[in-house]
Amino acid sequence: MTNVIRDTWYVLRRTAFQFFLSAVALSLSPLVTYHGLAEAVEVKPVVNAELLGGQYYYNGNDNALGAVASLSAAPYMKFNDSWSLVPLYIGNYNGTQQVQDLIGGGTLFQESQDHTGSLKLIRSFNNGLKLKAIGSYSAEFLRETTDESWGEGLYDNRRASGGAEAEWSWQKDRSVRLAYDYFAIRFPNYTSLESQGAALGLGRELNAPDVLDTHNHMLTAATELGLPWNGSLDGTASYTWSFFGSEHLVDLSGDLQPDLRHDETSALSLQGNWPVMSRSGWKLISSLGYTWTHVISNQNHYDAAQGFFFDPDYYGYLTQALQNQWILSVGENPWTLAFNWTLSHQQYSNRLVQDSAGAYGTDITHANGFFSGLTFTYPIAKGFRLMAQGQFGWNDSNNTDNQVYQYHYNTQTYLIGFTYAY
Amino acid sequence: MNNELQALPATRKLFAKPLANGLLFLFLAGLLPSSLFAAPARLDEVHGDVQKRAVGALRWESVAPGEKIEEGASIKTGPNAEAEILTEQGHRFVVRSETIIEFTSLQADETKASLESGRVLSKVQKLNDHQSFSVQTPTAVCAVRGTEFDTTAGDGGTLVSVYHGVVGVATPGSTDEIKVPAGQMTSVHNGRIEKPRAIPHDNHVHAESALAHIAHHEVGLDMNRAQVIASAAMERRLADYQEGKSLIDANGRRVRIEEYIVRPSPNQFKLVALDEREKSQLDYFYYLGTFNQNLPTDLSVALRQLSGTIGTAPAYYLTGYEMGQSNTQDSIHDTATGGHLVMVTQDGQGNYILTDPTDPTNIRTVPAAQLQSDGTYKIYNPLADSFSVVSAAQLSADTKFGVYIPENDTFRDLAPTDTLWQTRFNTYEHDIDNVVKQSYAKTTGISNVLSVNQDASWTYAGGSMTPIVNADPNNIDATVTNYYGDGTFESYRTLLINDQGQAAPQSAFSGISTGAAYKGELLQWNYEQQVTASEFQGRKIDLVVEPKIFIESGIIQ
Repeated sequence: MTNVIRDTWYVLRRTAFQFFLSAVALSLSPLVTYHGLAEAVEVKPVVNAELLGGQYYYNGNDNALGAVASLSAAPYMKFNDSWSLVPLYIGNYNGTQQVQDLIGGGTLFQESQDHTGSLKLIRSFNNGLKLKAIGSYSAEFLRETTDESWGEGLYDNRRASGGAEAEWSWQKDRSVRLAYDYFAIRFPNYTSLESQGAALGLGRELNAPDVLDTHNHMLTAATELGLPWNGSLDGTASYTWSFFGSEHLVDLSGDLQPDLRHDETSALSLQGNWPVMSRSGWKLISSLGYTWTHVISNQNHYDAAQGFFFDPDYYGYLTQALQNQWILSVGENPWTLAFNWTLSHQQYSNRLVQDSAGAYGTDITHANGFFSGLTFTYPIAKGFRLMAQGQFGWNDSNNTDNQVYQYHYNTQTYLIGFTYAY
Repeated sequence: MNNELQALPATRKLFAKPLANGLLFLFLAGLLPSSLFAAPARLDEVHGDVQKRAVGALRWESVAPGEKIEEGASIKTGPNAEAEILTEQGHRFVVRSETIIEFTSLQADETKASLESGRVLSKVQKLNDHQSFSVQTPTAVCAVRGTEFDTTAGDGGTLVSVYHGVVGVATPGSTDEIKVPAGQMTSVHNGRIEKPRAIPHDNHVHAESALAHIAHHEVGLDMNRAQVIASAAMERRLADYQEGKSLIDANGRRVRIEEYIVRPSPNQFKLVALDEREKSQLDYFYYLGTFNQNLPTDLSVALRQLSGTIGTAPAYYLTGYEMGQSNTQDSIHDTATGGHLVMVTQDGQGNYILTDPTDPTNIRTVPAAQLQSDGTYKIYNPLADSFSVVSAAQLSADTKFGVYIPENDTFRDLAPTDTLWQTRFNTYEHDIDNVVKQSYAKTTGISNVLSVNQDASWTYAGGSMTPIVNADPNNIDATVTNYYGDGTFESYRTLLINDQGQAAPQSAFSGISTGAAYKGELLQWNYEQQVTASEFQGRKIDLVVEPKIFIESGIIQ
């Protein structure tokens, strides 16, 4: 009996040892392959950085000066014809709001930082096919109020993801992609008040603390194609199924049902890019884009504060947006001037308008938004540019209840600083 | 020891085999890919239409990455196509679109290419004294030592741009060479070599290698993906904001409010308002109503009748209620039982007639206004079932009572011909921290209370209660303190505040003559109530909620 156990143990040890040696050999093989012929691993660093300072205005009232900084860095590593690895870090810090931020919920104070690390393994084939596996982890920290400190923001969130992608490129800048991603979003500091009330005997039976946390499955199909007049098209279609692991459906009677909430988000994005003019150091490039986003949710909305109003399709909406950009570059080491604008229309499926007193009307809520930006960059050293940017945003809606969320506002942000790209 | 010695060979054998297996695998893993480089060069990257013409062949044939490039072979790229060729010495040719290039020599000591037309970027490894690297075009010869340069050949001649190191440029057959340093470029046409000049920035951009292009492409995809996931998190936050569950006041403080209902039993509903203004400070309010029958699925049908009806009797009315406020340590608790309907009519002689519909003999006549000896009037409010004293000048205005008409969501004054249906309770109790402070019960001998002040007897802690009202003359900020006979007190400071925490001025409600207008103005403010009591020992219950929750649920009329 002892021998049997010992032999079994040796077999397991031997197998593990062989596996270990094989793994070492496999991991070293790219180095061996290139020894004597080329460099061991080709590394192409991709770095983009921004450091800007400026001021934010909300409905004409200025806010404190703040800084905006971002950094993305990726040492793209090509081991051989077959294998590549892309480690990536993305970091953002916002010391002042920008016009495309989430504005309606809070306006006076906002500071945030977001950090993402990802690792992507790429297997390339001779026929232009690439198979990729990717994993990432993100942490966002928010200081939206004066009584929140870093790490204690109510909406601090963590995002973990993993996915796979197949991309086939039949010529340069011509490709199709198909991807699947799973991602989980967790709000560690957010606990529903209702679940705290449960301990006091005030809660509904199925209430839960983590009602914002979701598990998501996303399918993406994308392509890069040619367009007439030397243009190119970037097209992306995606479908995301979001599952709320703790949020139960609320019914007409105000009770929670055993079924859990899930949302479906379908999105389509098309963008065409054209070189409009190119002569003697002057270049003008334009792009025109359209995005379509449709959200369906099985969750209902029960407004206990408004005469116990029940809205069975409160969360669904359709958003359409049109984007346009013009980039002018002048000179051999060019300065650039970019102008862009976005016009968006969001139509809720069945969210009734509310008047200034909060009473529900009969019209369905819609919101219109306009955003424009003007950016000037000037080269000051290799890779470094001076950048000045002005942004303007405007939002309007037929919903006039601004007591808890601002549907009507205009904002401006002015920023100046430096950028670096490698 | 002997056992150990005997075990040694076995142990060696045990580890020797897998070690040998591993080393063999390592060797093979290294050897196998090396076989791909039996040729002096190979195609490292291929994008689009790339073809090869082998030595001695006439036909061009499509190629794939990894394909061998022999000495004398030619490569042709189509529109939007690109290829990268890696030589055994580590030199790299990036062949741009619409280019034809022949690799005339791929020897260890000599790498030589002939660019027939098009453009090629050469990345050259450091050469020793016995090695050479050159690119020849129909009009020029570019010889280099450890460099990176771009060569373009066409009908107009040859263009050479040098990014690293130095390139010697000469015309074919000539030994006169012009050295072009890094960052400079020159052109050769009609047998003449132009003086080197700075490379325009655009050329640098175009010189981006295929590897750099791929790297930017892959990093761009990853950044987009990260952005999509971040947007999903923001969407969750947005929904919470839009439902008003979390807001930020003008002082930059987080205010969290959640309001919902619970149905403890088929004929009950509980309205709950939770309020978190400072972290970990939870105050709450709840109202539990028990109805005369099971409630409909749509609660609003029953709750619209909560404040009474005009005309026909309501199908749903309260038989009891329970109301609580707490800061999780201290509590205020009100209960009422014996709820029943009372029919209120007017007799045309200045009296309200209160009738118990379950016992028609139980009738009470209450004068609408009674002249007092000091010239003031004692008036009866049939909606609140309360009496108050007003001056003669106020009499006309203060005896008009606005009633809510749920059918068309409007208010109007109670008319003399109206039949008003109201709910009264036979018992009531008010507790502070579970100590009874005041209560009433219907007078013995009557079936139901018609008017609390006349049909019920009150008891107070210590036998008496003295209310003191202290109102701010400028703002809507009043404090009512009840002093009980046992020496205890309870104090309610009730005020309307804006988002900056400032009390609403009295003028905010001046000129308002209708209930609807009153409620409309009230909805513009926040309702705050701070409660202190002897039993709280310095603590307080501080509840800040939007008043609409009370108004719309019928709790405030």
